[in-house]
Amino acid sequence: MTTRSWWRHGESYRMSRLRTKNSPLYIGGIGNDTNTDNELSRQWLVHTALDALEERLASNNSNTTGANTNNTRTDLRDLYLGLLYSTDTHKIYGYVTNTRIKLVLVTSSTSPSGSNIRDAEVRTALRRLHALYADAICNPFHLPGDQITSLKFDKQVKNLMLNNV
Amino acid sequence: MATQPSDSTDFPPEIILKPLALIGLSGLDAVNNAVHKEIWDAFANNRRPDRAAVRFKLLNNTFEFPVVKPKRNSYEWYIPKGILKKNWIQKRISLIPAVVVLFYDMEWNDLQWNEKIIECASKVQSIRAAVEGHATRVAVVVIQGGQSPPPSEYMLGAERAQALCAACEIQSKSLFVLPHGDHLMGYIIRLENAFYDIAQNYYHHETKNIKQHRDHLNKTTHQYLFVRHQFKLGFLNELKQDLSTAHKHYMHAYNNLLETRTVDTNMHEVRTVAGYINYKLCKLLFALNLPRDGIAQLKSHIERYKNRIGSTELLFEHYAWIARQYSAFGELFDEAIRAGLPGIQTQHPGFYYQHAAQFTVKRRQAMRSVCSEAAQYPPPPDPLEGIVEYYGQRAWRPGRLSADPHDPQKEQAAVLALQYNERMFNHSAMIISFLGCAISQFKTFHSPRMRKQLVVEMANEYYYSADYGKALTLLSHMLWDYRREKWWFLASHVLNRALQCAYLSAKIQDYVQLSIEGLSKHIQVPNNDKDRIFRNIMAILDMKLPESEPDVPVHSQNKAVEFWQTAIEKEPVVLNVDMVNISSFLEVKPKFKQQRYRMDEIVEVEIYVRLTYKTVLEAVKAFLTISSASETIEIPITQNGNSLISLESSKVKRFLCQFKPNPHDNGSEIHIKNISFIMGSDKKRKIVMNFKIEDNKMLDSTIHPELLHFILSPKADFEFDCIVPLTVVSVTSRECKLSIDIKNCSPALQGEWFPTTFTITNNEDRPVYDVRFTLSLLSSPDNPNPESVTELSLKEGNTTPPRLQATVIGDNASQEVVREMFDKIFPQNIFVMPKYNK
Repeated sequence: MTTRSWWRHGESYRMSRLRTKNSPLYIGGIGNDTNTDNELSRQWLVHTALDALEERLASNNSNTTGANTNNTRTDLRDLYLGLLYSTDTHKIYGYVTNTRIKLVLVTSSTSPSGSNIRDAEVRTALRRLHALYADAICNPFHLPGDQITSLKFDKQVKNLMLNNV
Repeated sequence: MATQPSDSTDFPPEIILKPLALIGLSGLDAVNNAVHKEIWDAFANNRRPDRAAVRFKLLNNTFEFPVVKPKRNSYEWYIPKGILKKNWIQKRISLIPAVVVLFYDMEWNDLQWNEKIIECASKVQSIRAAVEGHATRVAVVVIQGGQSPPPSEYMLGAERAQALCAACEIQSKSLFVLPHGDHLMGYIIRLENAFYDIAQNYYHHETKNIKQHRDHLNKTTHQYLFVRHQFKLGFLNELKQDLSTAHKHYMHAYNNLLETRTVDTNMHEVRTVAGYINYKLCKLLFALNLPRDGIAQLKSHIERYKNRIGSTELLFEHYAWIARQYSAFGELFDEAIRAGLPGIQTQHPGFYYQHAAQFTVKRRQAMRSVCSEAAQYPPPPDPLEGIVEYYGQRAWRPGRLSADPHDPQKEQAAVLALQYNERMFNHSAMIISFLGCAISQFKTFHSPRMRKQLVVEMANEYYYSADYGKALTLLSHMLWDYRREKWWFLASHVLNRALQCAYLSAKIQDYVQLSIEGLSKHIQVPNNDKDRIFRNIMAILDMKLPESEPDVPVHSQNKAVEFWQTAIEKEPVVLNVDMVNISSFLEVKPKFKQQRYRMDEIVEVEIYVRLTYKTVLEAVKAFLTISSASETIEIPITQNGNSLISLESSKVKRFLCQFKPNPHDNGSEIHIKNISFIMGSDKKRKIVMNFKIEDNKMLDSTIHPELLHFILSPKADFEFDCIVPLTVVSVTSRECKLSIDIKNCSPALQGEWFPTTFTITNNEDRPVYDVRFTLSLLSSPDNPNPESVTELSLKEGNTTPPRLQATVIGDNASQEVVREMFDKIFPQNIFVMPKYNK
């Protein structure tokens, strides 16, 4: 999970990635604020976002099973779940891979330039993050289920965040 | 739902109650007259929502209506003293009925008809006199006996009714007949609806009156009146149950209020009234089934007033006000949901309660920054005493509109009084109760994690209000969940707070358990000071006081030391800690060496122990608990024959336990139940760390030993991670080491004695006693009954059945026990099946 935070500009942008069992695999982001209190509130934010994410998944699944019992529709569903919810200060987006790895991206509600982040941008960012994640776990020396400690991955994710806004 | 906490920002009940048209019933003697009582009960009791929106009030003869204010012809010189009068709503909902109904007992064919009609008319007149000035309508109900009049008297009834109307000067549609007998309830409901119609008519008339005032107003001096009149129109329409018109007028009132100039002196009044109007607006929007508009209204309301802070000395009032806006809205939302509105995960009352709690936190912060000097209530006269005529006005300057304080000294005293009251206010209780409301909502709307976060916030609040016991209980439950989901950062936060609580309340059991978990590699502690935690555990073992946790409140800490002094000597002397459920600094994996054991084998259990915290644990006793179908045994774990073992960090230790299976457990399973480590086994106080093993838990282990081989530089504990625990083993019976060998020379001929030699060999390491052999012949389809056609004998030619002798078989000796056994054979196929029993 990545925290991308530009606290200097009052904007935060952060990503998280979670396994099915909902333990965090990677938390990271951009920003120069490593204060414990802020880290705490950031983690609360991502953790509580899982509620919305799971609810979304559950309703998606029941829709598919209700309408069509075979699994093709589940497989074809959009991995990008869109805006999960927004608070006064943050917007939280979700993405779930086919293997139920959950990616959560948190941005501040307003960007410094005043323009809002567009949905398409978030979608692209999460897609690319998914690709990066796939690369990272292809590493034979990575243990599935462990936290991702790869420096390269961390750097790439941070780059992704910086370039995307 | 938990009840809302109250404070000075509470909405008055008349704002919260749903307005109902007021109908006065007169002439009913509910105390002495059974029939009247029945009628009154039918009106007043059991008011279900499907009945008309009216409220009945029993008027006695002495009831007095509020005095009517003289009509104002011109507003030119009139300057309003405030926005909304406190008593206006009260008057409308309980003092001025829309309709007064006179009940009168009379039969159409009454003999004293003339007297009756005069009495009735005089009663109507006295009511008219009482309502003088109000436009209250008057209606008459004639109570009659149940039996319907004979047809010949229909005309009489009609005539007399007309006469009555004329005498009382009422319209014929305001005269009703209530036959008292069967179907009372049905008549009552019809009457009720009729009254309701009259009431609506009355309220409509009243709104017209108010609308007329508007022409006289001008925006410069009468801005308050624009608000007041629109509010009144809204309220009257609400009484009339015309909700959308009511909403329209309230909206005008709200917008007019926004246009008023606000300064510090009237800020409180303006926002108080704005809050009430907003509440009405939202309530109506929910009632009109427009929840989205309601939510939008609240949002814009907060947005507009967020920055209208008023006097900075009373900043806390501003936050209290915002918190109340949210909580009141939450309540409205909750009511709407209970009435059938569907809530969703992202939009439900919980969020509003949460905001209310957050703003109450801000309120406390503001209190801390501005009220620090208000140490004492100002001396009398009490500046907060006094009658306030308008909502939201200050007792010390009622009805004054000028912006500058007229009496700076009084003003100062009043501010001091408010600040003092604020200091004395129990913010934590309020925050906790808001959080409680929010938590139950989040639980309802599928947000378990949000709920957890709020529970932790609630626990923090208990911590601030020094209720450490409650905080600890909440935190221990939450810690469990965060640990299970492996959100270690959050778990650490919760654990550290819980540890502080356990320390401050001197709960030794919790303290030790949390300390042990605090040493886990996953948990981050403040200042990374795990040594202190370890020292504290050791101190407890030595019956000494532990060091204080960092960042605890000073006054509580002194008390905590006292608690500890008494607690440290007391029970429980033995502290049991369940290690499986917590993440700790000690990891254990037990493993049977084989999957299966025979009865005569020695069962061996390997126990791998890893200590992840950098220390050496000396003099630890350890036990392994094994359970089988017949018994549960405890086996001490030893190290080189010594029962005291020591554990070093970053080394994996292996211990071997051996035991013999119980003969009764043949064919069953043996389970490893528990492994306990006893710290301080030589001391009075002991800490027993129990690793209870549940069979199902070990199955979903997340370890993939095969993958660990890929790790570039194997970790030091590679060995440990690779071990897959094996906690169940089956015991089977021992293998028999006797063997039998049968020798004969087939074929056997019919009628011939057929010699067969049985050789039994004993390979056991001890002799076998009391052996019995049984020989029987196997039947076949050709020969269904071999016993009848075959003779067995030990000696050739002897036809008596042989009795096989029990013989001792010596150590490893092979002995021919049954020699020269002959069989006289008649059929062709002979099978010999020797059996033996031990």
